[in-house]
Amino acid sequence: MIEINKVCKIYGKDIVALDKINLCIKEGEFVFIVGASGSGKSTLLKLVLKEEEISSGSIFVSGRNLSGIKKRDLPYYRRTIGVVFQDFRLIEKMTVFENVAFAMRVVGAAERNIKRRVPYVLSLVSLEDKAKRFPCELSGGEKQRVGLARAIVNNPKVIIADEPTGNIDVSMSYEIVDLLSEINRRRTTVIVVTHDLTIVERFPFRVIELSHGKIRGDSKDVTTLASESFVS
Amino acid sequence: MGSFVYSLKEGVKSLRVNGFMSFASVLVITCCLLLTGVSFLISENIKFALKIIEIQNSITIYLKFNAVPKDVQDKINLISNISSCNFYSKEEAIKEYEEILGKKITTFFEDEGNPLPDAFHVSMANISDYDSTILELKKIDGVDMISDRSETAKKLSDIKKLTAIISLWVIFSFAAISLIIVSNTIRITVHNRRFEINIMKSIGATNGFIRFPFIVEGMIIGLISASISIFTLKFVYDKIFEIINNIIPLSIIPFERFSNDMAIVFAVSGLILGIIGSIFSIGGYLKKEGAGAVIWQ
Ligand SMILES: Nc1ncnc2c1ncn2[C@@H]1O[C@H](COP(=O)(O)OP(=O)(O)OP(=O)(O)O)[C@@H](O)[C@H]1O
Ligand SMILES: [Mg+2]
Repeated sequence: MIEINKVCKIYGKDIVALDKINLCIKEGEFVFIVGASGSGKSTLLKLVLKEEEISSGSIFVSGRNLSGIKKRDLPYYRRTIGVVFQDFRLIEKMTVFENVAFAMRVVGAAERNIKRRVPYVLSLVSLEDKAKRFPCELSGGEKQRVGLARAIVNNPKVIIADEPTGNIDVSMSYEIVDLLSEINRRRTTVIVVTHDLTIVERFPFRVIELSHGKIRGDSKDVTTLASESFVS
Repeated sequence: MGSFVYSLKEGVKSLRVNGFMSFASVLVITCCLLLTGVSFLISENIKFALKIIEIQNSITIYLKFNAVPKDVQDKINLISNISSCNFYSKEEAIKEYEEILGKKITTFFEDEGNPLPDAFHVSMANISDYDSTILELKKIDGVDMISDRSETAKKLSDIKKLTAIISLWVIFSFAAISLIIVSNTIRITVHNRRFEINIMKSIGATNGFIRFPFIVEGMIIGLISASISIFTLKFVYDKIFEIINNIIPLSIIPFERFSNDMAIVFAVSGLILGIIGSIFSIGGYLKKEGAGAVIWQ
């Protein structure tokens, strides 16, 4: 599904964010990416989204070489990936419904389908009764559930979440990851970047640890990780 | 359809949010269009005057009202230097006026009858004998006056050239100023909405989709300006028309003659200015990706 081969990312002249990363994520897999601040986690996700260009190496997503995607086709590639952000990135002046519907508008969905699909997706994240609220009227956990609904509304093959629980409290965090694993159960590949070890320990998924731009650990078993590296 | 409605709404909304800059843009485009309109109207009226002179070109011999055209023509043809002599009836003359003015003017003269005299258009074989031939023509019985307006024609066409040059420069510089102001207005909108734009990009919006509300904003600015300027122009021109027409009837073209064409040209140029202005301001922004486009935390 996602193949990362010898990828380097150098910002500017000499900030090495990623250093010859090799990584393969299979279709339908759930992967945590952990590591200290500055270890290159966000950079890795940005490369997969093609928000940043790789400095060397190659990335294949669904068999497609990202370097070969033309600028004009980039939006269409991004539609195959759902993104969840730490800071939610909801549009403040739109209601919950509108925020989710917006993602469908962007891809040119018919109004009729929007009316049918958005309430369904909101019910998946238990927000059907908050559809008319504005983001400022929601708790952090609720905002992130809207973000999640927006990420899945177009049925992406992959969900990428950068610290989705970074701005919400612990109990809410489990709920978000629960929802993500629920989505994963429907064969969607999920990649979650997190600082939070307790979350990683709670779920039986693959964990990849980054350290100074290199992969330091890749295991199903958290306890084998050199956990001292990301006590931050 | 949904996204179209969305774009329209967003465009209108940001017009309001940008209050002052939108106002400035409308003002500047309006000025640009008004100046264009004024110079167009002036040059059209000069052209009209020139046309009238052309109708009476070469030498026109106006007859006294009681003269018999046939007799006069015979006498004109006796002069050796006359190469051609065509009768130009007062009915024809009035018809030509009507064509240029674009409306019937017979009612105007209902009680007085046609005020124009019958005439002959005469040309000479040898221009160097011009003065003596004119003298001979003047002696003919029934000839009222002889007009030769080549001097006036030359002056008018000089003025026409000058207005064309001046208005070209004025219009050009105002168009440039309009573009700068409109694109700055839109640039502010783009800046205010940069986070939104980035969200749109990350969920896979095409540049076209992102651009559309801004183009709508530019279009609305252009259209508002076009309507303001056409109505202002009509109002002012009608007033001037009234005054001049009272002094010298039929010397100025009524606004209705231009209104349709002008409305179309104004609307189109307003739209183009608005659209180009908005494309200028958002184009560069859309090219940026990732951290280059917006710094998040
Ligand atoms: N746009 C940029 N320009 C220059 N350097 C950058 C840029 N983005 C990231 N970096 C640098 O690249 C390295 C990796 O950054 P990255 O954001 O991937 O870390 P991270 O693992 O996501 O950290 P955190 O846990 O704090 O989010 C850091 O040293 C960072 O300073
Ligand atoms: Mg990060």
